[in-house]
Amino acid sequence: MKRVLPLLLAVACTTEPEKTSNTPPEPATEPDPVPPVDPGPADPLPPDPLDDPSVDSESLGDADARPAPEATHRAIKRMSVAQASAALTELSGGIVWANGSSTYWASYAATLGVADYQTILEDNLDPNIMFQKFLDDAANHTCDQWVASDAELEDARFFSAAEPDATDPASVTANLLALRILIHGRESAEDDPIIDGYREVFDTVLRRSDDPIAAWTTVCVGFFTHPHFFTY
Amino acid sequence: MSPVLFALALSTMPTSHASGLKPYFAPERSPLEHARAVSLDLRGQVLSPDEVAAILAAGELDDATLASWLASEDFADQVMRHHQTLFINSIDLYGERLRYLRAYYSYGANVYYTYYRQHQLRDGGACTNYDADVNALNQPQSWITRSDGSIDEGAVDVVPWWDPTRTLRVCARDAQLTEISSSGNDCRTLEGDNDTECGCGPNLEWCNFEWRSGHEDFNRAMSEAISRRVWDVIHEDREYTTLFTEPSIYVNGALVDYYKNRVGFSNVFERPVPVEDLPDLDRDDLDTWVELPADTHYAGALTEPGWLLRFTTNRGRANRFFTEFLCGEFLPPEGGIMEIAEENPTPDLSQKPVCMDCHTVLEPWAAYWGRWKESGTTYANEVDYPTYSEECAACAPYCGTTPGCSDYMISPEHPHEEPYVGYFQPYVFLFGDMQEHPTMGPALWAETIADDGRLARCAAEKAAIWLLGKPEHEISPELIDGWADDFTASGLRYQELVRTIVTSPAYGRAR
Repeated sequence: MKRVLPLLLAVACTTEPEKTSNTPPEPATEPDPVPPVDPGPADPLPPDPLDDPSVDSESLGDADARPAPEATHRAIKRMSVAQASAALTELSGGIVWANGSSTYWASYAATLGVADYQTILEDNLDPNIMFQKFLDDAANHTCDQWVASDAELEDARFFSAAEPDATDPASVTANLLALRILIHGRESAEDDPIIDGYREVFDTVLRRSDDPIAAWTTVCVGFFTHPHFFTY
Repeated sequence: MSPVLFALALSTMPTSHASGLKPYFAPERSPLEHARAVSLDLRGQVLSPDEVAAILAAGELDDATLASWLASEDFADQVMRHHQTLFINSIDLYGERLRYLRAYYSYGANVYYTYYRQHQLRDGGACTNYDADVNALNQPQSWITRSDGSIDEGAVDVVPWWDPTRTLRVCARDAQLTEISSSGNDCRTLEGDNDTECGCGPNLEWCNFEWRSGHEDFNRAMSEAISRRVWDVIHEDREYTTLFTEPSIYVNGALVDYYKNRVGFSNVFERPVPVEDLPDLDRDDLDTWVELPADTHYAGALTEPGWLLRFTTNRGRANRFFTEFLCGEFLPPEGGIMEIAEENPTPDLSQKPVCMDCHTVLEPWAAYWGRWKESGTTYANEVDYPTYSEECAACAPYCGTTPGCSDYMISPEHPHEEPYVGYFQPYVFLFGDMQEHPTMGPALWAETIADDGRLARCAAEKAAIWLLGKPEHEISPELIDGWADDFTASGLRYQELVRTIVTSPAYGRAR
């Protein structure tokens, strides 16, 4: 399992998608879709107002800098620790990242910047390296158990679109598309770069281990450590 | 910067430069992405496989599903967390603040005694760890008299209230069970502090434990009482204003235990309802909450001990409410607050130069808590503390033997104080309608800002900041105004406010 971690990071962190076999699989965030509002004809940029000699550059007057209603939008947010913990448990069908009755999320709450309303007044929601590290740990713990146990279930959740031992490209792709919807909440086409990337991870681990469960476990960790899981 | 951070940064970079001065519009998210975001914000949870399937089939998050999410306990949890950032309700009191005289310390070989009563009980020092000669009430029948005149009565075994799994060795006089002493003092109250026949009662119920760990449940309960109130208002879809106006108090097992057994020794707390009205809850029952009707001066969260002790001054209480529920802010003037040298400056900050810029507004608001003790939770009622005392006015400025006049203006040191001689201190410098504020309490303030729409406007702004994940200045004020109007029209139902925001086009666009 530990041997394939660099591959996981590649899935989670790469920003330049390419579709050759030796290239990282997927951008960390999808390129923004085309804005729904027509941006207008591609005119040359208007002249800089400060170049206008009639404008006093020392005093441009007052203006309302706040956006218009149609320009207001939601920011992409990072999950809180509570949300990440709940999501991992919900998606995996109840697996908790814990040692006994105490979850590691709770144990590391202060380190992760969870508000205690005494010294920390707001949750730290930065996608910082500390969060990434603990999410990676939690994903490894969860995926190890989830993939192995799900493979035994008749009403499987992880293997909803493929048999656990299936390695043919069609089955693998079908299951990757299903996981993409389940874990990231996004639909993708079969030739989407992110699907290519996860397929590459699966194939690589399978070649090295000859174990489909190990390959799927690696893919599972890759899904959970991708920003499309922990942001919304 | 790590690749992930860089990728995230890219995704949030403004792109208006790419199209000159034309505004950039964030992309509208797919129904599934929208539903996932709503689910995480409203329930703290991602979509289940069945929910994913239902949304893909319907092509949208339908009204019925959204309504069920808003009515769920998970939604109340999320709103409760959001409000914890507003109330910052977290209390950490122990030792001194919970009453010195009857707080336990350990001494030497695990003998426990009340350090600050050692002189009352044995003329100094602790006992030593030998088996005491006591009767059924743990009253010592014999003792050793030391050379300095102090006594050593020995120790007995007691199971303390804060840890039923332990047995402590406690000095016998501290472990006495007497309820009414031979002098007639009630040992269950402050009357017993100087009475050698009064100890800490059964399981040391009438004494506090000095260390922080002994008070964790009590501290947590005071903080959670506010959160629990928020939870009920949201889950029961009550009018939002009741959060600040309901004359009630929330208790769980830890609070009931304190109010039944130890509040009598405190000068910080008082029992909010008669002891017979307290519910029958076990001390360890921390998850059962009961809302108890209380006197009319109680004002929801604004008079909960968890609020009064989190913000211990009336100005601090007013400032926090102004900041988080009126969305205002007191800012110092540019260059800082300049001190103006004056001979005998006025103590009335609402008239003092520079200070008056803020205090003209703040002082009348702080007065809403005028009858609530600062650094405490007790209430000075009109009967015991009339607004104006003719007795204190008559004895001013020398009222040494007149009881209660220390709480009244009796010795003015500035001409601005002279008109207020004989007034209860919280009323000093108040005039006109402001003089009603201490008696009417913070509920009046909440009702005023609910009536004029400011509470709705600020609640909408705070909800928008939470749900959109953006600072206030990046959100259209027209949008917030519209959401506030809808919130008001709904009868200040918070579920409706959130429904309006998450179904808005603004929430549907994200980047």
